[in-house]
Amino acid sequence: MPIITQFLDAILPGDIALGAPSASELNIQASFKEQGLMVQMDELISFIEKVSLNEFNLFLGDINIEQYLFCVERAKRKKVRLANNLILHCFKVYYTHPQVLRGLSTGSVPPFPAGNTIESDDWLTLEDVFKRGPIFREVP
Amino acid sequence: MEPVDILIVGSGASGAAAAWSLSRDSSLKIVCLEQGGITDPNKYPSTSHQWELTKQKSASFDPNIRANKADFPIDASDSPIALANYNGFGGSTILYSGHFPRFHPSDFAVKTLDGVADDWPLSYQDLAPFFTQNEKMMGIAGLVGDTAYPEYESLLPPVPLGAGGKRMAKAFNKLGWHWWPSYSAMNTHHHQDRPPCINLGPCNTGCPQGAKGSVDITYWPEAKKQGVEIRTECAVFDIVLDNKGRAKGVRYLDKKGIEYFQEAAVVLLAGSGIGTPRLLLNSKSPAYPDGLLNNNGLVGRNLMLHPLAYTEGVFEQNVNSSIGPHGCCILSQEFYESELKRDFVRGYTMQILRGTPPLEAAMSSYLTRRLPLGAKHHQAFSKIFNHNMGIAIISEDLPEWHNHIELDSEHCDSHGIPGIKVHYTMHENTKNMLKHGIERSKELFSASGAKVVSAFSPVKHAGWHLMGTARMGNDPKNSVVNQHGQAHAIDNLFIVDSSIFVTSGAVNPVATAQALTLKICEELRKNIKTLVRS
Repeated sequence: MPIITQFLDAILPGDIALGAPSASELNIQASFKEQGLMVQMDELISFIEKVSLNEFNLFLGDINIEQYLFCVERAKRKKVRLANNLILHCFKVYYTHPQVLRGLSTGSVPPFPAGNTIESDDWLTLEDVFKRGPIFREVP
Repeated sequence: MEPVDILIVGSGASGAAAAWSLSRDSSLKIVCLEQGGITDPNKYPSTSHQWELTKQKSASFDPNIRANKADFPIDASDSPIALANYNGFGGSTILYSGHFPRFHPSDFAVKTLDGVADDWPLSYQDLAPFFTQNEKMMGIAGLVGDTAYPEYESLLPPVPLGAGGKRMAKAFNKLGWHWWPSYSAMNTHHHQDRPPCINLGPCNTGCPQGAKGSVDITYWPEAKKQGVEIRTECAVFDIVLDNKGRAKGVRYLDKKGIEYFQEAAVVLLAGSGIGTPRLLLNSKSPAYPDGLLNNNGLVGRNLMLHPLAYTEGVFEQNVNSSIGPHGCCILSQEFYESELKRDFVRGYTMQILRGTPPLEAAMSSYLTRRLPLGAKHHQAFSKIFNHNMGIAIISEDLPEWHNHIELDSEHCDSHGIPGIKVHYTMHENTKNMLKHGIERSKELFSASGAKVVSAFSPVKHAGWHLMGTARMGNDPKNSVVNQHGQAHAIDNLFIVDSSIFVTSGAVNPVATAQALTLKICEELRKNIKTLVRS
């Protein structure tokens, strides 16, 4: 799991100013196991480590976040389907998590007890349209 | 099983309107057979924070992904557009966006006006009273006085535009183009025992609040009160003829796979632009070896889909665009009618869409390389989410013989009934129209101050509007039913759904399909003895 945590912290780190938690804080790690994605994850991380060894001559445990992200981007070029599948899985869990939704100003968060208010409109803005007159075709 | 007077196949937009209209005559015994089950609004996806995930799986509008027991496989590998539907009580209105404009007068006379396709055997004026009746039943919000239509009588107050919609409205004014608040099947105040919309956004997975006018909560409660019996999870697979060649009833399978025969004096089909031809093609007999009513080879032909183009713009400012009914904001008919100087005939609607919800925004912007991973991710996302708006171009699709569906016996539903295969190509006229629409969409976003981040056509997963596969007309040689929805060949067999459309218009078809249903059913109810030989 620590290996997956490093991956998550690289791709979806937290942002305190924006109220966004990191993916690892939300325990997205567990979802890989639940969804049967561990084999794919192992394959991707092995490949990322291979890139790291090639580019920096360092194992994953020895590189910083920027270097890790660089390796992810390189890995994506070679294993685009595998990488995107796992990254999109992270998005799916992250962007449906109530803690994330509340931080995003999505308005009311499901199960939607309250709803949202939208300010009313001034329909005088339609005056220009109205002045131009009918635009539908009459049928003889 | 006791014979009934009228048997309706399908409980969706048209089946529900038919059930309500026909049951106004309390002497008629009416049964409706629906292949899907009843959905519980308390369990709609948007009651959970994971609703966007459910939308991609069990609440998907793609039946191949959803794969419910009632769904039949649709092979669209020979089509640039995949078909969308929902098989269940209430039909596709459970998942539709609720965008509810009428066809225009010119849509019924394209041959006369533009020399293409065919005129309908009826006019806008013939349907006008039924449009009004339907809008009252469905609870349609909007604003009267639209210059793109003859006068509407009355509507519920319009759905609010929101900050993004207001910017788009100003842009339309700047360019001198028509725009109007959307015609929306959304209660904007308490109407017919249903509460008002509370501007959440996820209308396309079902509305648990009951503010969106889906037919399970509009027509059906009234139809049931008037005595209609609805049998769900009953898959009709064959229309049976008697020895005089008239419809005798239907054969269907219940959820346990037990076969029944339901006799009826009148059989009325409302299974949608693909469900109805599928049933007809599957109903083979010595008199109709290629499928019922298919002696001229018309059943399943002339499929029209409304190919869409999509353009997305992003505002620098937060316009709270994820809030409010996604598909109901503004429509423009500026480019609806034919104009000689263009390289296409007929035209299109510009439908302004609100912003995408969080997961969809993240996934689409990541896949189009607009959303980085790492430290800059959240900052970049905060400039997309609630900042984006969309424009859908709904193009008029002209009927073409080669665009068709056929039975696919290699891929069957859970009962072993064949699925369908779609063969569809886009006409040059449509391609030119979509290209024009994308250019105008870019112009509009530019006038609004938004940056265009995506523009493409056709939209693959957008084949919601299924029309033309059992067309109506006066001549039995080139149509399946007459202007009363009555099969030319079998006087007690009627079709009321959008499969009988002659042309497609360039707006969402449900308002017109339901108005047409109401007209056909009122005529049938009042003249059943003269229309149908006893």
